[in-house]
Amino acid sequence: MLEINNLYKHFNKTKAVDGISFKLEKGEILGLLGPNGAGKSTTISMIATLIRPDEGTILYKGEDIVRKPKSIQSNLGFVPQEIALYPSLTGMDNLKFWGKTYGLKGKELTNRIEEVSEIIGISDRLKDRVDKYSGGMKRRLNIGSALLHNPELIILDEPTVGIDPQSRSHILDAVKKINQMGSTIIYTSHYMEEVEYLCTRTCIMDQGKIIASGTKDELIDSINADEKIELIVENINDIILAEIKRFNFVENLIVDGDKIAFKRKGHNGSYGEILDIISVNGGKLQSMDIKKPDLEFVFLYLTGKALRD
Amino acid sequence: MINQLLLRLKLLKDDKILIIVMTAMALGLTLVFSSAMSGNYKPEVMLIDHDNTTTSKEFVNELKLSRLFRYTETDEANAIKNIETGMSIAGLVIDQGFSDKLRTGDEVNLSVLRSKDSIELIQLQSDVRITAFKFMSKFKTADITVQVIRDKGFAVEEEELFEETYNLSSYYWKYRNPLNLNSQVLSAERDWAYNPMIHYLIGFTLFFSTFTIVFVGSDILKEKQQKTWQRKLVSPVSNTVIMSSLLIVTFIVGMLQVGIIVLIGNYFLDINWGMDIGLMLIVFAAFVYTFTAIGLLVAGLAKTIEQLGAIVPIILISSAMLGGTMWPLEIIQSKILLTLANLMPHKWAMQIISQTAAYGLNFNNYITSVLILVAMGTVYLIIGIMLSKRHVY
Repeated sequence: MLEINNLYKHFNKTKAVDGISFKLEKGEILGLLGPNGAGKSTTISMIATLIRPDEGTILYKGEDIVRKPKSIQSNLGFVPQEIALYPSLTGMDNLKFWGKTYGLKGKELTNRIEEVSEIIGISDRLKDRVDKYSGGMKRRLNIGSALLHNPELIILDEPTVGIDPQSRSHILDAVKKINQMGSTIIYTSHYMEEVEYLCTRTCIMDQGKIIASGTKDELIDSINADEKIELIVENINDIILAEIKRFNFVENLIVDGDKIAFKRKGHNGSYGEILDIISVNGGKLQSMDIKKPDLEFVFLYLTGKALRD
Repeated sequence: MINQLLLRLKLLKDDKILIIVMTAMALGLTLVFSSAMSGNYKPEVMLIDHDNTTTSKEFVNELKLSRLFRYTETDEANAIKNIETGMSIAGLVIDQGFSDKLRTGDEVNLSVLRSKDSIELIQLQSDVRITAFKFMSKFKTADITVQVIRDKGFAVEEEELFEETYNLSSYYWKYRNPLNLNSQVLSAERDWAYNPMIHYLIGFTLFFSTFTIVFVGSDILKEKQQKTWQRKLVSPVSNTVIMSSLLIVTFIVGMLQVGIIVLIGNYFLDINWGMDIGLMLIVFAAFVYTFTAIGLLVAGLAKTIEQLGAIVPIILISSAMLGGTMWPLEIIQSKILLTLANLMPHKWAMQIISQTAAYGLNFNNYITSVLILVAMGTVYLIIGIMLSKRHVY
């Protein structure tokens, strides 16, 4: 559906996007994950035809949108990071305006406003002025304004910045729902857990480059990271430790007071057997914490810095 | 397009108080400034006559008939005191030998005492020059008459003939106009004579209306800031439609403002604008169109509303000055300034209204000025559309 090849964008001497390439298939949710300044917003601004790349091509259904921006504009729903709405107008007026901007009118427009306001959960506040809305409601309306024309491709640029957890969860659910209804989505965020929850595939960006891409599991596997397990056990004894060490997947076992910690090597073996050993040999398990490597860890591993740096 | 227009009209309500205040201010300031700069007000000029001859006294008396300045004879100390305290705008010193130089046709230099430069000093220079020229003409006429009669071989008392010819010249200057123009302004309902007040009224109406119009740029920058502009730019609606909707609504607001000033002036304040109201509104319409386009262009140059706020007054005041809204371009001698004036929309609007007021309607000149304004506006609009994607990221 979308193919990006060797895309470059400079602002003065700063390389905002430095030769990135990726593909997006129909029905996917592609996450662009990276810290502030990684080049995510610049990339999607080029896809949205807001700015022109210095080099490279962006093909939408085979058409070069750098040369023919009109070929994507009608099929694109763009949700900027900022609340791009008219605050002195009502929610309904905003939705009507954006709907008409994309050619909707009459009954079709009314129906779409009803459907979209249901999805984003603001049906009961449509008659209020937008400047009276909470931050979360504005964000939801901001998304809703891009959905009215039922776009094939939706670009969401950090849509959950600065909102409460409840609104955030509402937005994430709405994005999932929109995807299930058939839209393809590009979702940028520097919140790893959002990307993990939503995206079928993720491109990790840093300093204008895509440093890794794939599904979550592919990304984690690509760095050969191990799970870390921490057990808090009462009455730890030598038999328990010796038995645990016998498992092939246990590595680097450390005991510190009532804490047993080890790394898991590979995917074979189950933790149930370890729990049985503790129980049979007089130990009492208080807690078990499995630390799986996540995208945050992948990013840290690849760049040497945390996502929110 | 209709959707974009409706949006702009809906958003207008946010600015309704500002628009009303700006219109009221424009109306008020136009009247205040124009009445202060014309009508019965005459700046005072001190006269110090060191020559003290019959001719210099006559010259002083002639100056006192001026319609532009109130000349008052005094001594040098009093003149300096009055100028320093701002009671008088300048002092004109008639040096010894003034009469002789006038009579012999030598270069005459008059000293002007002043505390600062102002437009009135340029007018004063012109006023004094015209009066001095009149005296030199009379002397020259008398001189040539004596010379011709002498060359023809007639025996005359030359001094006596000179005096007689000079006095006759003065008589005819005083009581006979060398040329009478009987002009009639078509469609004018009231008797009308061109006076500076009309110039200033038109000039200040144009000047103050530009402030509301050019701030159309702030609408764009506001939208860029809240990112609705960017959202529109990535929609299927073209830049031309987006910009045109802004242009149309701002044009309507500008025309309402100018129309209110013109019509209130005409029907309630009994101002005769010296031109058919319909024709004048067409000129104003072309002017408002041009300045709306300038507003759109300026929005592409500025990055923030604060920058716009800094740029706009500079553009508006300098273009109004160069375009001749604050003083008639006729008193400007610098070729550079006059050339620059051609680039200012004010010049073309002022010129056609003034010309029509003074000489009646010349259809060709009228159309030319209106077309120049429309062409200027269209060029600015095209550049504005081209710049509409600047500073969007």
